[in-house]
Amino acid sequence: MINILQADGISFHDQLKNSSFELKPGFTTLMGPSGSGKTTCARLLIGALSLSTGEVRYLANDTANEFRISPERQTIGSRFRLESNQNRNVKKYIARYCGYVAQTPELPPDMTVKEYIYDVRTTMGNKLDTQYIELLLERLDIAKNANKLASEQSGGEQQRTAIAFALANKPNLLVADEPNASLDSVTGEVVLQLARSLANQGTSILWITHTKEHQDYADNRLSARDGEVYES
Amino acid sequence: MDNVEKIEQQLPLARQNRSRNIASGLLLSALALGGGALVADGAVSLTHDLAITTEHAEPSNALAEAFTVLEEAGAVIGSGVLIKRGLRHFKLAVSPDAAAMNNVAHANTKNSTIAGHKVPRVLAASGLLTAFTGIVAGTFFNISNNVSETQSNVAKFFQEIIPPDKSAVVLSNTPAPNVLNTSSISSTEITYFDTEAKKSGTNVIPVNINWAGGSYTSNGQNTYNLEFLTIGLPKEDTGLKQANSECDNVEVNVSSQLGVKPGEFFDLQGLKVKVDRLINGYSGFNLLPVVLNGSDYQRCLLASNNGTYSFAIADGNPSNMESFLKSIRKTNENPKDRLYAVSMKDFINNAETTGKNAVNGLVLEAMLIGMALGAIALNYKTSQDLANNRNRNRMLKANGFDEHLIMKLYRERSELDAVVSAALAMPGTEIVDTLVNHAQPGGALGINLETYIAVTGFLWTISRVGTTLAVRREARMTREERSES
Repeated sequence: MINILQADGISFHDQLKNSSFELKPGFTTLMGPSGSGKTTCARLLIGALSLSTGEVRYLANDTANEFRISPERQTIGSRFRLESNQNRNVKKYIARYCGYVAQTPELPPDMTVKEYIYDVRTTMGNKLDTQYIELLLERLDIAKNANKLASEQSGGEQQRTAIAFALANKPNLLVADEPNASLDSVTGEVVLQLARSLANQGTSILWITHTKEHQDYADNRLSARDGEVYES
Repeated sequence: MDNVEKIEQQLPLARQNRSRNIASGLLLSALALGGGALVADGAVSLTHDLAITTEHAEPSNALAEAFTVLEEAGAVIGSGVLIKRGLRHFKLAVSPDAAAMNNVAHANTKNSTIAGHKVPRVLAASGLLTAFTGIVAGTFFNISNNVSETQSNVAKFFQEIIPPDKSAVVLSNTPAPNVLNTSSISSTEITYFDTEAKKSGTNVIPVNINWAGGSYTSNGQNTYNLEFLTIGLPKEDTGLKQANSECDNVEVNVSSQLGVKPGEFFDLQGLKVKVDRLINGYSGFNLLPVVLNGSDYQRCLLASNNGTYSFAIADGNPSNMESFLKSIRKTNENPKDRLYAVSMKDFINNAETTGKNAVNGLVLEAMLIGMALGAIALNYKTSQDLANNRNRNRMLKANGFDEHLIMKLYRERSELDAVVSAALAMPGTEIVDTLVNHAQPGGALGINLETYIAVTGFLWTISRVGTTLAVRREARMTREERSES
């Protein structure tokens, strides 16, 4: 389990400058204007982008378990390899304990909700708790859509499906990158409340937003400005 | 019935002309008295050197071998792919995990979005072009096998006019003569050969050979356009009367496959010819041999009387043959004007090889062009799919979807594209085959399963390489790309 996440001097080209912070358990907001590096930071933390500089450490409850991601060595071969072996094991570890929700749900239109969650997770090799997922769908109010195609759902339902997918593997860190951006205010509030309740139950949330009011829900706060992320 | 009589039933054999022998002997004696210089420089104007069998050039097998290797490799790969797909379908039925992965691999693939337009997958399987080209090319290759068999059979046809206890050589002025790749030997040279042959007890048969078009009208109703293999042999070897100067009463011996009776007429390259006798045909692609006597061949069919021949066959006892070949060897004054003698066995082998090479070159070219186009098309399609699903794949990767897993899924898609493309191309090939059969009855071969399997193998290989490159490129791009906020 990832308990604490520490970023030391991380950067990504000119989109995120030398940033150091600690992500503690609970509900953490990361707030900043557009273009301030929030999404870049989030994607670096979950290993979706390659660090230019710096290091991210993932600390479990037992601090003997520590994993690090560092910039990949650029070799001639690295340009042709599918994935660097250097960080691959860490990314597997991150994948086990992290979930990610983006601004738009990006669901495959030809799959039903159930197929998307079960088939994709099964393909990834995840062992799923069927009962837990059924409860999750109920909680997100999309159980009735289980056999509906993603393209037949509303925007809010699709976003909740994406959240269900991200939570299906019981991660203990959920990175939510402006998940309300494409939702109406009512649905957005529902999703925010859901995230807060998950934090109460032990799932750490990194909630990326540029809405100031969301900070009222936060246990911890991070800020982003001019390509730098810091603790506020 | 001895062998000679059997062969005569197909085609009358030449018999040595005693009176001609005597006359030749007297002439040679006179020439010998007159001195060898006259033979070298004088009346026959022959300045050729004769290269014997061991020095002849063999036609290159490179193309035929290259194509065979290519097709065999494709067939092995294609067989493997088809077996794998069969096992996969079985596995899908029994393994929920495999079924889940299959669902993910083929989600959102009913249509591909190419250049902003939705295209049904069956069309977007753009290896169709390659598959069609490949299968047509493969069918041509199989036709080429029959062409080479045809040439070989025709070469064997000449072998059959040689008594089995005699050895024979084919005289030509190309290093590797075969049935349809000979050159011209003048009548002067033939006369010279004949003269020398009689001295040594051998026999020389000048031959004309070429393809010619023609037609036959059956029962006054249906007219078939046909290709004939015309053969001109000395009159005494054909038993045919010589035609008049207007060439309006040319008689021929023709293959029984034509379905005519003696006394009937058909058109041979604009010449109305009458059937004298039927001879055995040969199986294979569109071979209808028709024999004319040499004079009619030259005057009426070729419409020239320049007295050139495609090649000559000399036959005789082995010791006589050696003597004959030695006697016609001259000091070579012009290396370009060499004459070559090849054994009948080599003549037949050359026919097979040249036939294969003649068509294989085109087939190989067609297949390579087709594969290149297919490579571009399949790679482009995969790149488009990756680009169209970039955000989706990014989301999945952010949730732990491995790059290698993405590679696996796209390879599965492209593998199915390859198999489907080859299968969809088969109706197109069937149409081509039907058209060929309509134009030339008996020319079509039907769908060739081996070629389909080979093309499947080629497409799979191409798409595998293209997919691997495209997914790697996409993975590198997304690792290094800039995000939007």
